[in-house]
Amino acid sequence: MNADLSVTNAILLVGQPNVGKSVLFHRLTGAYVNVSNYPGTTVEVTRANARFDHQAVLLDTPGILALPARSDDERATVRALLEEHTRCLVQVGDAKNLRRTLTLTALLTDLGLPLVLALNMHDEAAARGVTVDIPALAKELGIPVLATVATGGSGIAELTGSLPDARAPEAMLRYDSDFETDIAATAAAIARLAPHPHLAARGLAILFLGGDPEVAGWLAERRRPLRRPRSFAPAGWRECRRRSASPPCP
Amino acid sequence: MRRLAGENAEGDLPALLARERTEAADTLSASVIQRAPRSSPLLAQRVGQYVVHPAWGMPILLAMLYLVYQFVGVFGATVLVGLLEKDLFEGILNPAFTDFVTAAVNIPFIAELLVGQYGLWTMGMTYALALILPIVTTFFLAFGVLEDSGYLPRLTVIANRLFALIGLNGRAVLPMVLGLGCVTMATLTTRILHSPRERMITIFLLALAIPCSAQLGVVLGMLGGVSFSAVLIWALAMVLVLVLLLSGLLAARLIPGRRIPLVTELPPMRLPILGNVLKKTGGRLKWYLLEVIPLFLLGTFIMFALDKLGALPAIIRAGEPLVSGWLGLPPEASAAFVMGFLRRDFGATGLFAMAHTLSPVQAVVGMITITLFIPCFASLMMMVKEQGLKIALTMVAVIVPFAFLVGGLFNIALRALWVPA
Repeated sequence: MNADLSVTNAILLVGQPNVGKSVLFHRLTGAYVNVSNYPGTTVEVTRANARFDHQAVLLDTPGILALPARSDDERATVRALLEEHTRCLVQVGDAKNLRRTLTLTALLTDLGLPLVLALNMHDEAAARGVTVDIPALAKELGIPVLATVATGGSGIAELTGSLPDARAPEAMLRYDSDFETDIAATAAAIARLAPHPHLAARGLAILFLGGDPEVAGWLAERRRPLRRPRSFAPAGWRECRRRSASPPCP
Repeated sequence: MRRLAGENAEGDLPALLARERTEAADTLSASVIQRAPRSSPLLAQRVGQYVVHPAWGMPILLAMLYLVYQFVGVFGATVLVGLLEKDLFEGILNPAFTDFVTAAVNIPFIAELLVGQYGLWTMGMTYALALILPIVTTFFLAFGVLEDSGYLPRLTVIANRLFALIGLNGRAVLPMVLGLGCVTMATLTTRILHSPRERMITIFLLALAIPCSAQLGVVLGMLGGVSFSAVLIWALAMVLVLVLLLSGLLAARLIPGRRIPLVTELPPMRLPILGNVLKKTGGRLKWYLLEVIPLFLLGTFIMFALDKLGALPAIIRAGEPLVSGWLGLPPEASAAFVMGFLRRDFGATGLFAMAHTLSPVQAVVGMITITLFIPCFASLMMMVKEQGLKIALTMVAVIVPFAFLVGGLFNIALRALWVPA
């Protein structure tokens, strides 16, 4: 690991589209980003220094419906996950739709990065009669969970206060045993041949097996200096990486 | 590892894993959530349903358009522009500045460069500050409210219904609606589309028939002097062009025929927060003026140089068969199209400045043509960045003649059919 990689100062805001990542980003950095009440406003990663910690850099990422990435904006988010020296992830989620939010949380816990969950739009959830037992959820997930209203500014101080406590959680679930066998075999290969400085091999294995083009590309590059470069980077992958549509890679 | 990847890709692993995750999320969320029983849906939810209602959606859309037209076209472009342009600039600032320059600078060439017919101050700055500024300010305000209220994404539902009739892929609708804000940004947003072909076609249509907010403002302002029905005719023309072109492309099998339904999430309707709308309007205005003032000055200088070199009269003469004969506009409108090459809204402002000499039909035809005309320089650069120089230039080569073709057809049709009140 070179010196650069040991400085882990990036905090990534991730989440589904239109949950308020950019509003939160604006709150935490003061940097103006275009913010709208519709999905797809952010299609590139934006970065700015955090107000609360001058050592930290905050990154606003395009919304992801799910991973592996299917479109160019989702790929930008995966690239950020692969390339940034991430200190922790802040998942911004819709408090009105906890089920959907937790579906993504399940995936993020596989990545092995310290994680904090901000349940945003808490006011709207309350107006719709939805109350979330936040301490119970935090205990269940093993990560800090906070209720926020990014537009109004409530819960922001609690959120920044919880960041130092963020720990990498246990993977939220074990998949079907057939998949787990494949995942474990692939993860072992990744850990041996191309370990990532921050991301868990398990998470990379899941994305790779699902055909994520960015992860496949990253792994293929990593393999080159090692002994059997050809075996790991067939031409098919690079081809697949260039196409913006991403059918499962060969 | 490759073998595993191959096997799993066939089994559609991501979907299977996603199902397991959803089940786990379902169980967990059920255990920590309490739902208060509620008898009736929230007002916001009911409004959200009405605006996309199959029967009520259209009347509400028209009412929205009418309100925006009143605010931007009538209040912004007539009242505010009247105050700024007629009273402040033409009444006080420009005469004073002209006197000062002619007295201070004895060289007629320099004086004309600053305050002549194509003067940097009398044309460039006056266009930017007295004509464009009030129009885009009112429009950005109205647009910000529509955006933050959650109405705008609901337009995609209405537009999708329209496109469904001709079998167009629903997902492409979203960037097109976003293009009403800024075509440059929307060109970038086409990244949410899955196939390169869809992206290319959407970018082309964005460049052709989707007016950006600055342009929409000028169109509303210009047609604000005519009537609301003029605005409707213009809007109908854009929809017609989109629909006809798309069905043509579909018929030619240029777009894959398989229809993928629009699956987009509709954000909740909310009351926009005034502070946020103002902040956003301020941010957009700053960005717009920073970009537009240098370009307007550059454009004015090019016009001045063309005029001095004697090229402008030649261009006007050369354009006469096209502009006067085919489009039915006064020959001077050629100058506006020359300006339109730099930025559509600069060209539209040129037409706007001569609005009092245009008949209603001429105003509508002029606006239709300039809307279809090539987009602004920034979005052209974005097209090059996203699609490459060759495709971008091909698109421009198709768009320019097409704009004149459609404008001329509307000229003929409107003269025959439309009797403005």
